[in-house]
Amino acid sequence: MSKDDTVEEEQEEDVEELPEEEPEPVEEGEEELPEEESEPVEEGVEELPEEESEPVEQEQEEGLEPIIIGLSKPVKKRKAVRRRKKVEPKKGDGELEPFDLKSYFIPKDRNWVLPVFVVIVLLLFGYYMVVFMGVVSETCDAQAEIGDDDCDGYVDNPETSSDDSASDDSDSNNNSTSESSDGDGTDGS
Amino acid sequence: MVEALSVVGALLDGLLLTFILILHLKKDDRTWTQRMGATFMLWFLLCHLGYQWASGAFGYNFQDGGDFVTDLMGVLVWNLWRIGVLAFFLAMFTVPMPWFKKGDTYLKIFVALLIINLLEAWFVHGTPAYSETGWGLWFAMSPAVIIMMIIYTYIGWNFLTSETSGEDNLEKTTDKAGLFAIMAVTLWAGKNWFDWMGIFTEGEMFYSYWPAYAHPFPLFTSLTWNFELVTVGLTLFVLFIGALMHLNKQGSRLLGGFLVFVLFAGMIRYYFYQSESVDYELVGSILNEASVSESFALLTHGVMQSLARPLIILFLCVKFGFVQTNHLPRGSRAMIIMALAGSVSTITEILQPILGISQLVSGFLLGAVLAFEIEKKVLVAMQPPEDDFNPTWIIEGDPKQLERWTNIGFAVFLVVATLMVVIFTDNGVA
Repeated sequence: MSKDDTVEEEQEEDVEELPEEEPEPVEEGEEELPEEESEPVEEGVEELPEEESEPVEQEQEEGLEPIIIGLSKPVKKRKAVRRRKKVEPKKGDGELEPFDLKSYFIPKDRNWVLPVFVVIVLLLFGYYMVVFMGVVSETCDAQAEIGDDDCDGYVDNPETSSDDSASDDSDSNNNSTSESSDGDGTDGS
Repeated sequence: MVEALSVVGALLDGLLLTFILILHLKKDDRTWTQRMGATFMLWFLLCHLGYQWASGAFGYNFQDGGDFVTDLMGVLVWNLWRIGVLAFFLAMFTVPMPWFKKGDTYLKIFVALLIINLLEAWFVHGTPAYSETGWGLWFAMSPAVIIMMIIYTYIGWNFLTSETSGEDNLEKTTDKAGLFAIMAVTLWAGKNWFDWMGIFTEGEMFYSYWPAYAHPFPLFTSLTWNFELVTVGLTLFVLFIGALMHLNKQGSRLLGGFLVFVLFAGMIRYYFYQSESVDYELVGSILNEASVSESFALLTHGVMQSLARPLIILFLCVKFGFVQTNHLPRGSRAMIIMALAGSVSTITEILQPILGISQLVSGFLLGAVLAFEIEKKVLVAMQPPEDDFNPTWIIEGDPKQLERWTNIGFAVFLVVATLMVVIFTDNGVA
């Protein structure tokens, strides 16, 4: 591989991303340089450091015949250009003030959304309360029949008349936020 | 099987915590609400990891460590869970759209919540109110969970029943909030959705009323404990109806189908697990296992509890842009592969004794994931859409300070609430 080949390869790399552009018109007395193009630096492209043209100058120093002799005016230093990365538009949609909570929660075209939800909640919680109070009442009656009037859900020891609710460790395993309440509650691991 | 679930869940928690933390520390063009979202998710992951650890996922039972360690870890774990609840409670009125117009309003609410939880930590675990029945006094956590789930459910209901989608900025906001809300409800109540029939029949919903009469505050403790269970059922029924309407208007089949599936899965689970009329021997002869109930419970309750939660966090973080995965493309790909591999291998392990499926199948499935680059498709599907509506919400004050004070507040709460109980009380706390 000759040195020229090397230069050509490097030049090709430099302009690799450039779109094909028409060569500048060659003025009288000028020689067209085969691989070199002096292009105007357009908006959106950035200049590479001038060291890019070093290989050519190095050849000249090494005694090769300067190929620019005889040009009527100095040739601009070749400037390889590379397209700057496209600046992606920012994802954000600008600044916005929070909507008022009424419009956030109650859609204008569907006024039924909140009332229906409230009805479902009331029905479910109401159903629960009625059944729950019934269960408690039944249990209290059942306890009262055996002489345990504290209605705590635990049957006291009739011999000691003690309140057995405190001695039952089930309370520490039955809170709704406990991880040990396997199967119920809304959290816990 | 149980061990596998908690270990994989804990590993996922730890990996995700690291992954999201690294991405969160990168500088990029996220909005302040997105950064707040990442903060809340990180705190939740820390909390969940703490719980997995405490439940013995890494082979260490802190209750064997002596009284001091037991006390310390007991309170610490509960306080982590309080923060987990608070993280999603705060995210509810911050992340999809702030409900406040002044940063100070957020900070005041935040401090008030921390103080209430601090009091709860003291009265439940410490002197002077600690007692055998003190455990029922969940005046901070239970109401927070109830309120949070009702509001999240309503936001999800609003989204599912909408006839249109993203027609204006308001609807774009409520759409995003709706998806976030459904994921949040699934995370918190999802594991109990499979028990819903039990709740209404033989579960504790009607029959466990112990706090009502065994506590100094019977009515309050009864309401918080029992209504929390009712709320679990409420979320499922409301979202089920919403899912049917969502499917009817050609909405997301994945989302709607999942919610419908859960309701029926609850029925199936009840048939296997809680109904006394099931002939387990007959079922076992068909499905290769006598104790189908245990495996079914693991597939539903267990998977939703250990595996689904970290995966939901991953989905939320990517889908809502809380973090940007393009900072770590290789790491993101690895994270998705690990999440898929962990989930698939755990589920096949549970299915192995029931259906006779060799666990080696999970290896082939993992191979398929890699061969077809499914992880890339999953990651792309999770990314926010190109035209994602992502405004910077304007509030009075410096929104960047909210994230800072949230982190400081949670950290201070964790230290103070834990040490306060351990140092100033002689009572056991675990």
